[in-house]
Amino acid sequence: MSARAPTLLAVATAVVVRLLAPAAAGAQDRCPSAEACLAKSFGSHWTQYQELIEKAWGDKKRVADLLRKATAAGRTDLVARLTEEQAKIEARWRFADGVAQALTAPHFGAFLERHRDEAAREHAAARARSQRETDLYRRLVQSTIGPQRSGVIRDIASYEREAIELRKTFFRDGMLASASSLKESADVFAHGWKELATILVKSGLVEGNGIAGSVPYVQAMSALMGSGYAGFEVVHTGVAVAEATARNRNTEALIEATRGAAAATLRVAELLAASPASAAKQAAMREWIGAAGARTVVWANVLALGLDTALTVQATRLLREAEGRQVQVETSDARWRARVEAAARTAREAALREERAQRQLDRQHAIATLYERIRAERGH
Amino acid sequence: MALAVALAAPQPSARAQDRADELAAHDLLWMEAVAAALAVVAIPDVDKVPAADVKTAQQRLERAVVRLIGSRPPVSRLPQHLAVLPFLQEVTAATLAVVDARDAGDAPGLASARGWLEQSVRRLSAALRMAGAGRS
Repeated sequence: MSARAPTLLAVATAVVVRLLAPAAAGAQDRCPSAEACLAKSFGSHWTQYQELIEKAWGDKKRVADLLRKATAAGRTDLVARLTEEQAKIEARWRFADGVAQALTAPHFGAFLERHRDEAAREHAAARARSQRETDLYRRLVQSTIGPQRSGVIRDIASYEREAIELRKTFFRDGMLASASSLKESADVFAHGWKELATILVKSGLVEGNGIAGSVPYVQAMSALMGSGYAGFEVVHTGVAVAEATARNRNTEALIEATRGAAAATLRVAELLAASPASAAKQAAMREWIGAAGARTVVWANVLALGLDTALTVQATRLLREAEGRQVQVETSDARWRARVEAAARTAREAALREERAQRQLDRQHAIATLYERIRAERGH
Repeated sequence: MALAVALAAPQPSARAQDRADELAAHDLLWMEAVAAALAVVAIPDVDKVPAADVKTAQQRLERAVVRLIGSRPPVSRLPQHLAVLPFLQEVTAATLAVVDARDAGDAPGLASARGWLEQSVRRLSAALRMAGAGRS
């Protein structure tokens, strides 16, 4: 049995618990906000990753050098001890190398860049909205005479209409993105679910396993894909969801089936969750890993399906709300102040998230540079 | 492939059994986090349901995430673990921000936190697709 490498973030765990759960921390350790806790936690993680890689590589080089010298000097006693030490360090290096490869994978770096860019866009949009809310409120406060006030009110009403349209576009696009990933998830699950159902029955984990709840979803997805996304296209062109589902039975069936699959996936995840652990669950997980799990990562597929279906259900609900909302002319001073405060707060916090996304990217670049140097030393 | 062959052999070596157990144990940890995350996502209106329900769901997710952070993933699971965990942490933090804002009666904070939670769930979904794209 190879020597166990240290727990990846053993030292940081205690710190992370305090940082992620400020309510449980001592007064002197309390983070000012959840965002601040998260930023500190990420900083700590990246530092740990870098130190893990640097130390494992440094130790590997050091022992190799000592072994060369001991061998050259004919010190068989030292050679034996150093060979044993080298085997332990080699196990640590394999783990650290795995961490380095994962963190410097090109698709991961590209994803962090896209994440940073998206955070920047969200910040810009939040800042623009905050300025607009403030400006409208200022004009409302300043206007007391009829034509000026009705001009402001007309601008507010058109702003609301614009916001509703923007929201519709956002959720339509969100639904299309969900539909694309749903197809991918559904394909994986059409195979994985059948195998899982067999294994769960064998393990006696049958009660309420929810597998059957996913079957209509897979069938509805197949019907929708067969009709060439016809259901989602009508939503994309701006037709109301209610009208689209009345017109196209595939859309209605998919939305219903998606709701069922979201609930079913949650039940499956609960069933397979570690707590409380049982011998039957352990056996089922080991067997599924040997079957579907050997081709894919079990928990990632369950989470992907669960999120995609939940996001589609959420997008549908929010789109219906936006369509049904009456345009309200906001004249209450107190409610306007609340809107302005909320928009300003959202903009400030979006700025912090943009900074965090940039720092993540910078730390990833630092590890990529380190790993590039290590690879050069190894002669790759 | 090597793992499946080892598991299918009539008398799997102890090493292969350890690897299978290690994978299963790690996947079980993640499955708990998945169940906790999906339970948070299933809450229809985080600013309208009883505050205690949101707090309970957030605390469960936080416990699962802390266990994941303190775990030692098998090397074969490192790509997914390291790519997805930060975004799961963000969902946890965003849910905590909702809980804190509701506890404090902070209406602007709640509006901002709700938006953050929606965005973070989308990012988690995107991270999963990215991690899947990196899978051979």
